[in-house]
Amino acid sequence: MTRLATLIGIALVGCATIGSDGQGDLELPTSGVGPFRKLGGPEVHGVPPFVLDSQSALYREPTALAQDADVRSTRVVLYAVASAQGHDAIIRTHADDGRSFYGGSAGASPPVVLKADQTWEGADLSGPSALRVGDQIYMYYAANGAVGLARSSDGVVFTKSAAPVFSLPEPISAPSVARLSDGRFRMAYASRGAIYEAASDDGVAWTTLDADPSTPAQDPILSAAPARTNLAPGERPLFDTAAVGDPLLLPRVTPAGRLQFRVLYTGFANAEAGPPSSAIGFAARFGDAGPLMRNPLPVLSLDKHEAAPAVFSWLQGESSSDANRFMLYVHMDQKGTSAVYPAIGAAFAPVSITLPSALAFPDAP
Amino acid sequence: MRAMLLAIALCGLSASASANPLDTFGFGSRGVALGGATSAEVRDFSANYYNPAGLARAQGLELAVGYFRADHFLKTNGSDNGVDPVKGISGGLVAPGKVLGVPFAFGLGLHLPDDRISRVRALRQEQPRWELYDNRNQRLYLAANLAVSPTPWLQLGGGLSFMSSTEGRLDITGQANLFAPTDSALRHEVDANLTAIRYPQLGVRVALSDRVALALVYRGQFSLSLNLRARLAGDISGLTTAYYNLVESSINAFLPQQVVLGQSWKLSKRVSLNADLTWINWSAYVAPVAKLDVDLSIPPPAGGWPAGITPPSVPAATRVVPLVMHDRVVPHVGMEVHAVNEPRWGVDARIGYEYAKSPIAAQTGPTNYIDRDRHSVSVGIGGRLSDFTSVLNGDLLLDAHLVWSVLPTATTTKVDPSDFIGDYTAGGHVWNAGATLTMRFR
Repeated sequence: MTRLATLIGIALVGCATIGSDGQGDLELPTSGVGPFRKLGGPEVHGVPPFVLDSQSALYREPTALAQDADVRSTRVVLYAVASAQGHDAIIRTHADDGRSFYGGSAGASPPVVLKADQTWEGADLSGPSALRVGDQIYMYYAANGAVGLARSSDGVVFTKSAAPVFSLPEPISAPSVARLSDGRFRMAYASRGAIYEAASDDGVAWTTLDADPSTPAQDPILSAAPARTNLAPGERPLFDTAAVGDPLLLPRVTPAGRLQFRVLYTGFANAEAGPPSSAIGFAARFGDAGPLMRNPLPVLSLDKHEAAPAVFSWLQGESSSDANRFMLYVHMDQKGTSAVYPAIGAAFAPVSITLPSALAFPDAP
Repeated sequence: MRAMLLAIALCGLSASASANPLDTFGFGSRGVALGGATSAEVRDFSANYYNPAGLARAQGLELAVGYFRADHFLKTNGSDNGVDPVKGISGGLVAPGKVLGVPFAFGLGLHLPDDRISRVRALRQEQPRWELYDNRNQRLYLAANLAVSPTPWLQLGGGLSFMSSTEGRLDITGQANLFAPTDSALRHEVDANLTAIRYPQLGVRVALSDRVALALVYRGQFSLSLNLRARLAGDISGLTTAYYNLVESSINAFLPQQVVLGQSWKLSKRVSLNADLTWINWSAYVAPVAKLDVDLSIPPPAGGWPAGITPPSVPAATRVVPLVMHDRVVPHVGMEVHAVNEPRWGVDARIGYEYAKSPIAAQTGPTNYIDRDRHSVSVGIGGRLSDFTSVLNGDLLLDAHLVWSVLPTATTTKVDPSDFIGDYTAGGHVWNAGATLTMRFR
């Protein structure tokens, strides 16, 4: 008995002295806007980082919405622009793991939920932005240089407002709408190569906001970055010196209790040849009004003309704090058999974490 | 009494945090239970760290071995960051004697981590990390000291502590096939060294009376450097020959110099009170930021690069944002009560407190060296068995300690709203428990 106890004691001491990999960097704080890394092999079905890819539908300009009220759920609904019968319409798809979307497998085609059928809309819809308002889903979209609104109780059947809810003398595109913690609505939109802001109390009647009321002009909250002339050796020029667009509005209250008005956007820079290069950038401000400050580093830069960011976030683990997992959806170049076409790819933050293998595609739309 | 009041007043003005595993978690269960306030009173193996002069007070050969484990529960925004525990074997010896009639002692102190002997991490300066807990405490400590007592009221001691720096070289040569990567033939050579570095420590103890003693201790500064070189030279698909040299040099851990002023009072036959003030020169701290120096040469092949292949460019050099730290004075207070003191056995009870104000300036910019003030409350118990066998003439001592350190949660706010990390709260607590078994021969 004594020998057995001695052996057990030695074994326990031995176990206590076994080394392990070091940690110390779990669940680090983040603003929730990356930087992101593109998804890799087992994290998606098919060719990474693409999650919604069709050479005929040309999926692009995604907007994401949590499918469940549970903040730990990875079930997400994605709306995106697709080419249908020669026109651009808005489709709806969903995934149980944030990656394996219905429509990703052969033979499955996400249904169109919105198409241009109002006289003011012209032929095409673009720039969808979905958010939950009470028990309804509000879908803002751009058409014919103005912003329209459609509402739905199930996210599938939408009822449109008969007229645009927001229009200006100059064309506007890519609306992104979010609600502040006090219930007010804010919209960021693109116009003339810059990003502007509008406000509303009910999400229907909108007024423009001037980022700098001290000047007579209507000032954007974010413009193209001035080009740098004194670059250090190895330093890259800014990625958004030509134009900014496709805003994604992500307001939040920081752990310090401050309103942080976060915007992800597409930054364009003139390329030596061909179309402008692009990357996804991040700009923000503290408080209710004023211009945004940009981070000089892009949150995603793949050199594939990535654009039109959408984000889905969820909470993983035992944390009781804010979301700590972030999926970024953008459209980017995909190589087809004969040409390059847009498809929706995904990236993830925190970059140090590898996602488990992708789940099966949903069976039904 | 006036000295005591002065010490307490100084405690109220001062502050700090810690450095290597012993600075943070103490050495030996008795010293830890007394809140680290033991420089004027120490006489066992832990004098190798607290005050080498105390070795000369040893009554006989002493061998000690113990184990402690400190678990961190440090959180940002309410989420545990998984900071590794610090655990391992602590021990040492004290060998007293006389040289030319003068009491003399030699001591060895050792902390041997059981997870890893040393840990090297060179992170981007923007990455949040618990600067004083995450990495620097994961290392070996070894100290060798000598002490003399030229008069009964004076002890002098000094010695060296040993740490190790890391140097490494990686050479890659051969052929890289861009079009069929599996056909690449590359040779790798690795040469890594852990080079020893030493830093001094000195101590003096003066007994003002049978009841009062003072101590002064100096611990030298050291920095553990991390120097890595990577060299790549090879043929790329027969197109061109690439040369790539990377030199990474950084300070992996930095221990600032320290001065300890200690006092010990025997309030009665059973009760003693100790207080230490440790000045830490944190303002000399060198931030452990990875600094890369890269030299890349890939001449374009004749006729230019094939379509779809773009040679990599050299990244811009890291612009290191200075880490501002402030010198601190850390107060330690400890009380010991000889609850039972029979000839054949005894029991001591101990209690201690330490307040370490964070030396790191508010992280409002791009860097994220997280730290918080730390309050540590410690308790401990010690048992003694004397002459318990006819073979061993001496005392068998068993000491145990438990320390609860609280780092009150506070908020870090950023100046730049487009900071990728943003505002965050940080705080938590640390548990430290352990025991030490000592054989003291007469």
